[in-house]
Amino acid sequence: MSTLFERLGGEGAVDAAVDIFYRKVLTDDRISHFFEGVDMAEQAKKQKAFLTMVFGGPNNYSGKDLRAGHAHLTGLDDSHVDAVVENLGGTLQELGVPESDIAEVAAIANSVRDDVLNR
Amino acid sequence: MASLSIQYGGEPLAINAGESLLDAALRQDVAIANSCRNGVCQTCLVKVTAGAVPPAAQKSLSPQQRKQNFALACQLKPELAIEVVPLGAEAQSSAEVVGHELIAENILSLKLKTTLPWEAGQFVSVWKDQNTARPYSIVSREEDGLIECHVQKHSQGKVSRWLHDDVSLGSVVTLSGPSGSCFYDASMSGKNLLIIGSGTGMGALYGIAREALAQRHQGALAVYHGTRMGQAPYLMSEFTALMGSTDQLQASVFNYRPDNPSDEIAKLVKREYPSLQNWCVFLCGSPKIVQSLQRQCFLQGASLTDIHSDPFITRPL
Repeated sequence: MSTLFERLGGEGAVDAAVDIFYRKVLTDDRISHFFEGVDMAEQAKKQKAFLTMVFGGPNNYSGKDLRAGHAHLTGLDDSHVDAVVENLGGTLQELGVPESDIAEVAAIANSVRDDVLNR
Repeated sequence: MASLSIQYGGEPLAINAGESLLDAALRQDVAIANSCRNGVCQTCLVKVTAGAVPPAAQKSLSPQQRKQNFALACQLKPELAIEVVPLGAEAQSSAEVVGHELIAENILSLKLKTTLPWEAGQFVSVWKDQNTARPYSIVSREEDGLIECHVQKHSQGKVSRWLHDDVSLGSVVTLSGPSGSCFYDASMSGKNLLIIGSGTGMGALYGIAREALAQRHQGALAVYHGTRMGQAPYLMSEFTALMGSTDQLQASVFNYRPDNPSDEIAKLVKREYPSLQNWCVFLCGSPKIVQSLQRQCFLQGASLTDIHSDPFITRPL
């Protein structure tokens, strides 16, 4: 029985997804303003770490990191997390990932919702 | 706030939760040389001699550096009582100044004789004393035989003023590096290159363009040279000469206003390059131009891995 991360294609899948996903995020009016003025190269690394986590791969993310990383974003609420999860699903659809695996990725993303929203 | 006691250079040092080794040291008047404080320039390189190295402190280091337990003090946020020592001679080398010439107003061409390997577009840190170093991009190709850097004199710049005024031909200076990943690689050969910069950032881009042509680059090279309104474009005659040697390269000047430097060039890129899919982009110079163009080029289809930029953010002193 292969793991989610293996089925998605491991690190190669993260590399393939990061451009598509981050471009969706930056052009999504609901959330793009949170990324104004951030350093792209630094953000790209963070996006890769995030995708590795939600793809079920090895990662060093802790709840504490996620809280600290989002604490400065005023006005961040459930609707923004919903938008991110939606963009994630759209990315995986473009890459031809089956719906059952997309649901599993969305479940992992939703499992850190409270950390991201600091509650 | 919880604080942790670690050993730095054999002495105890208190670090607050979430604080970097560099910030803790500077707060307590312990000197650690530093420059960018963003995990890029490697000026604050240290070595962990006991305890585990947090991965974040090694993220931008080479596999060789990681193996030696090197870490960046500005990114090192210890959670356990580790032991760290400053990196002395082992990461440094010395080089003789064999060229020292003003090539434009306030811009010094510094040529250094060294046995270190490098790529045009990488950077080398030059040490004024054991606590003060600044990174400079390398303009020359390795085939040229000498490391050449273009040093802009800043009125408050400790290292740039020293290099301009006190260092001269025959001086021996201390270097660390070269490092950095903003350089031409043979795997880019089939792609078109979009090269945009300003100020002394154009020096590194000139080296990158020469390297690409020397490696028989197949695609086109489109160069945009940013110049502050009313100033003469530095290195433009060199780019013009390069343009005369091949049809592949087109160089043009754009003017920018200091209050909104990226406005005009971002619009130009949007208009002239509707799809940057499969292009390689090189960006060096004003941080505002670099950051804004990183985003613009990415949104127009360039892959994150194909956008290479000069990583230095000028920090207020």
